[in-house]
Amino acid sequence: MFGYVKPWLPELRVREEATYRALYCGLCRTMKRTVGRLSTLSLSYDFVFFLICRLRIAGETPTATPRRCIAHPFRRRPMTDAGEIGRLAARISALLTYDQIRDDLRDRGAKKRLRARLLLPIFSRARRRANLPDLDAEFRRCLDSLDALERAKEPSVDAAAETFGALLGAAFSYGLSGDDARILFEIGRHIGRFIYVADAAEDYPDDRRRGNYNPLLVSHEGRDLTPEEKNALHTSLLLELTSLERAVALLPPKRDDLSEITDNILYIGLPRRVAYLKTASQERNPGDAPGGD
Amino acid sequence: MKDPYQVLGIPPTATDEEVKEAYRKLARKYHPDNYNADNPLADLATEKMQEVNEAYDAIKNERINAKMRTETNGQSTDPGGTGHTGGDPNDPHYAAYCEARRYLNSRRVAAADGILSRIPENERSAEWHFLKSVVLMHRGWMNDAMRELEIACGMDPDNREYQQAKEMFNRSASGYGSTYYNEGATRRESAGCCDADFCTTLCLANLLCNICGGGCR
Repeated sequence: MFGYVKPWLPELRVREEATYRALYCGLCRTMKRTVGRLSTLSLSYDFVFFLICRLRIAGETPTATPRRCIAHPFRRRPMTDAGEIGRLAARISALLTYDQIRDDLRDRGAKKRLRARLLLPIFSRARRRANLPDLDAEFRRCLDSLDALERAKEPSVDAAAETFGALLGAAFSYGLSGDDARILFEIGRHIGRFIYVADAAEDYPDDRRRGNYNPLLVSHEGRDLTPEEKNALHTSLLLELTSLERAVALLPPKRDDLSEITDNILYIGLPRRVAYLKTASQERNPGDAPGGD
Repeated sequence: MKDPYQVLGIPPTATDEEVKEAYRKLARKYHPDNYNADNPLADLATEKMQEVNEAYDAIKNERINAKMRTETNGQSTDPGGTGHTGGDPNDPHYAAYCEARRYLNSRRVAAADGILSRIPENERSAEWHFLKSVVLMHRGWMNDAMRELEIACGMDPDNREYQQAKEMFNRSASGYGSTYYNEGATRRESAGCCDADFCTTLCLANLLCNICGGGCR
């Protein structure tokens, strides 16, 4: 996906960071074993968040085991095997990456198209191995309605974001039922909406240059965004996070590393990612980007 | 049900601020955090807490409704002294706007949206854009909501209610996560949005509070 959803490491306790890294490494390992070795190219922080939410709602706290891996051959690293939840994260991630690559095939940028063409066979296979036909159909439905909005040059970024929200909502709540499904759907929905709007704001100059569809370009008629307009975008993104906060508050209230990581993502990681809009400087400081390896 | 004022231990003449203070005290007292799961009285505390919550809600709703009645009777008093609130009674669609407001107050958002969509595009007043903004906010479409609100404020810059709604947006966004850093080890409870006055003086703004900033409790 986009790697938006991650904690800001300096504000995590050391043991929370260790838990986070072990989840990340564990997910990488699970992806290799579930959907194929090369599928880990798409490993993303967003799916660690998925993992955390699903672990929290299931009330599970799996432990980490030190293991070797190809990226770090000399030292064993703690890896968390999240079991069934981990495998689900791996499968959904493969599916989503496949859809994203298919979308990139139509991008106006030549580099992106080339990359997509190279990756497509890998992820076609990963998608088959993921074997989630019902979720696949749901993703298609959401992406089709996004296509329709794109063709109609929809000017409302909220309307476009809603389709992506529905997609991630379906992903987050997949296989759950009752209240658990409702809570996870809302979490996924608001994460999806946040990512879509944040991405539209960030890609604004690139999309304008390449002629890609971007609802903000339509609504602002391709003008440079004024500082006031950026501020307004920033405010709406924080309000989106307030809605996300409501949904996250309904996860089991147990306080542990997982809940601390969630809070960090919610209150620091995500706001920092879009803070550049508020200062309204053109470039995001790359040094601000949080994350591990 | 018991008399809500009795439950909170205050006279019916108490100001909004006093009601809130009384509620806060009792809520702290009966808060589930004070009772371990193995505390034999935990269930009683929960009952008490519920009683207090219900009493507070009852008083709050009663006061909001009273306020709304005076407004829809067209006798809107303006406690702020400057500007005005609500729509223009001379607007040909005034009745429709009032109806939409009533629907919004009872959280029937789709019904309110239906009424708004029936008003032709070239006859849409500031009030229309304000109410549309509230509808969008309910849907969680904050960007569009802010755009509509911006239009409403532009068309009727003296409207106190619209201005306060805009402040509310900015305030709840700038307050987001602020308590996370301050609470140290326990970190945070909730990023509450608004003060009591604000919520009780304006019923629709109260609604906004509930949607976008932690509610009033």
